[in-house]
Amino acid sequence: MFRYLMQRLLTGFGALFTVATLTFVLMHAVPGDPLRQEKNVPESVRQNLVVKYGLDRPLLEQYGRYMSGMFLHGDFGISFKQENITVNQIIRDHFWVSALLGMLALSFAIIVGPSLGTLAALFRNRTPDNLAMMVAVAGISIPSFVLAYFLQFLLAEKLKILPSGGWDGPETMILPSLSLGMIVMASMARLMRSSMLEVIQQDYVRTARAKGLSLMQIIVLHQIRNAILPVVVYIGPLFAAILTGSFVIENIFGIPGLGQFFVNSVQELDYTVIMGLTVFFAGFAIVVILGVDLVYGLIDPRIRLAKK
Amino acid sequence: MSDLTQEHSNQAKSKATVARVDVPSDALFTLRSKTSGAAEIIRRPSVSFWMDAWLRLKKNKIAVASGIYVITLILVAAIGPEVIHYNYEEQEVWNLHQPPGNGQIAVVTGDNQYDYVPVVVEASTAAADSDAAPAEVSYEAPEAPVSVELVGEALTTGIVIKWAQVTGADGYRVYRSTEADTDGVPMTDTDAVTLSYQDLESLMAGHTYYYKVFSFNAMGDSAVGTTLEVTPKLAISLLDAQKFAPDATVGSQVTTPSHYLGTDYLGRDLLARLLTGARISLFIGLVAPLIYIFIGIVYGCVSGYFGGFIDNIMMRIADIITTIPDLLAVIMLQVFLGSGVATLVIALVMVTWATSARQIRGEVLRLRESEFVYAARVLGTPTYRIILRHLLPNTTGTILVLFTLAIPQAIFSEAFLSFIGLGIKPPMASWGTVVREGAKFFKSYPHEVFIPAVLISVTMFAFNRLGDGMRDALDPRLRGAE
Repeated sequence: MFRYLMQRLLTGFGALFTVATLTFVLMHAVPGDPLRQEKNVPESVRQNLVVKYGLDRPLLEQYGRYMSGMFLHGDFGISFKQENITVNQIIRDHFWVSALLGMLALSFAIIVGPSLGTLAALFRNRTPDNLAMMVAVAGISIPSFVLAYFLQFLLAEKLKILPSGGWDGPETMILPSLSLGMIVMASMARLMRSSMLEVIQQDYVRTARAKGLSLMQIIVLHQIRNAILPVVVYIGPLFAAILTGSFVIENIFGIPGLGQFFVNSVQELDYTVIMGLTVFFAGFAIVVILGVDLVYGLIDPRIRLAKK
Repeated sequence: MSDLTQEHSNQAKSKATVARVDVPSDALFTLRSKTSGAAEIIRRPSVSFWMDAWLRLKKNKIAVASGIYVITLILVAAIGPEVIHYNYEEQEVWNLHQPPGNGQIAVVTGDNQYDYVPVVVEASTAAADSDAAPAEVSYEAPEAPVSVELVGEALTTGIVIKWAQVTGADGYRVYRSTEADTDGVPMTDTDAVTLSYQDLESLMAGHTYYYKVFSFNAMGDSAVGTTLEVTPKLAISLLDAQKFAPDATVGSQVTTPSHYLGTDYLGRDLLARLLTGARISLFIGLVAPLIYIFIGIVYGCVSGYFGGFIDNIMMRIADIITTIPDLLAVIMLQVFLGSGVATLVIALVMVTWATSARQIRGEVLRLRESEFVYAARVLGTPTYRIILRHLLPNTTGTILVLFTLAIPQAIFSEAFLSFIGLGIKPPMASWGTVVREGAKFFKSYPHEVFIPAVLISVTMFAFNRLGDGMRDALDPRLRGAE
């Protein structure tokens, strides 16, 4: 367990280091520096800015400062394009919006997905199964931004049940969470179905039935409890889908989250914000995936993590 | 030999393998032919592994339908843009947001279409009015403007309205709305003597606009006149009209060429854009997986076959690359490499090859321990030959499925990146860019988003189902599994 943990932490750190280095190299390989686009700045002011941002130092020193600032002090630097805003401030102010949206989407997926999958497995090859799998395959095939527009059009524009955008109050959170969580929900439903189908054939299920347990007891205590384990392990990778999906969902619904900041900063070439947010996102994703894997190891004694 | 016969016959559920024993001549039993040759006939034709998989795939109706859709789509994408007589970037500036369907009736206008002389009443008339009530400032609300009417013909190049002067008005304000029961947005303010307005703001043929004229005085009091309902006709300049109707004259009506899916916000044919977009989206969807699966095969085979230290190092590198969130890295590379089809392919390859390498390595690890590999090694077969002739052909099924399921992923990535403005850049068309451009006018013209969106979804669905079907056909044990 300990060896596994260390190995995973090392890999995670390696990935983070690679991302940070890659971002740095790419950013500095782009011709020109970010301040050159400022048209109305006099040369002397520009020089001051160059010194302020440390762009006059040798590249290796800039790299050292950037890496040590980030990993030792957790300091991502100052935005080039927005005055007097540090990347840390952006993260602090907007991360929680994204996090809440992600949590809601994930909760929707975790609650609905496995239920749908269970239902499908219990009614194998009958109408509920076909319906559930139709929903699941559609959920996987429809890109989140397409679904977002569709829901917005149907529920906000035509039926006027829900607001079409913004982020103030629970009713504004429904559509973004649905469109973001749908693809994860669909994947989970499919996983749960196949996992359940496997469990249903197991000997212990037959034994339970022979002992005279009620159908409900068998399903809840013996089948779902065992079938849900393989599904849990996929939460980590699926989380990445939520992360990238949030970039565009936040844009469509006008939600003041981090994803929108990221896309905008890429379009505006706001280097420090791009670098900071990339490393932050990557680090966050790595930590979440590691956490899910560890939890999985704890709840399923059959898995020996060290031997993987 | 008879064992083999029995096995095959059982598979085919044939009744041909009743043992040849002496049985009483009972009606229940039919005697087999005594000729040994006939008894040995294998009823089910011997099929290769691929033939078998193909037979299984054919039974899967959704997979077959998906396959037909995919082939049709590829053919249409290859031929379509050549056949259709519109170009993806050709603009009809006078024909924006045309709804899907046949051509529209357009009115040919001359060079003087923008000439507009405001209706201005002479100041003396106004003065004469005020003479009637000298030096008395009116505190009463102005009268509502009367006889609001259309001047000339309502065309998409401009709508001119005028109204009669009313007493007590220090000015007029024109509102335009697309709904009868709302005021809409203020378009202009005029002074007390100007009694007309020319509306040039993005008028669409066939839409109905509701104009309201308010009169107001210096105190801020206002009154509203009757609502004028105007449905402009499509206008086209003589020069543009002569491109498709040589005998058009000013004032005559011509039928514009039809656009089966309508035109976009720049007057470009949507069908032409989608067909060209299909080329680009499918090209990226097919080429990127092809390249990264090839890299994955090489990497996976080397890593899996040699194992040990080499495997360990190679897999740690792959681990790190798979841990990096895919789209984050693609976005980063886009910033660096600029936009374009080539960069999109490179970016997708760079972030996704490691996943396929891992899967192929797993397959190679499993096969490495098989007897035929041992046998080949004992016989002194060189390593490259073992990999090429013994390992690779046995992983073909896995690779094929991997490839088919990678296509919708790549198509999605392209659409996603183009949608957020980091993929293919206009005027080039890909499905993602078409959705992005349609999304700007989503509220007024939802079909400009929904047509490409449905196309992307159906295509992803088809590739997903085809991949699932192929996996089930190639490895029946995995049926229904993820």
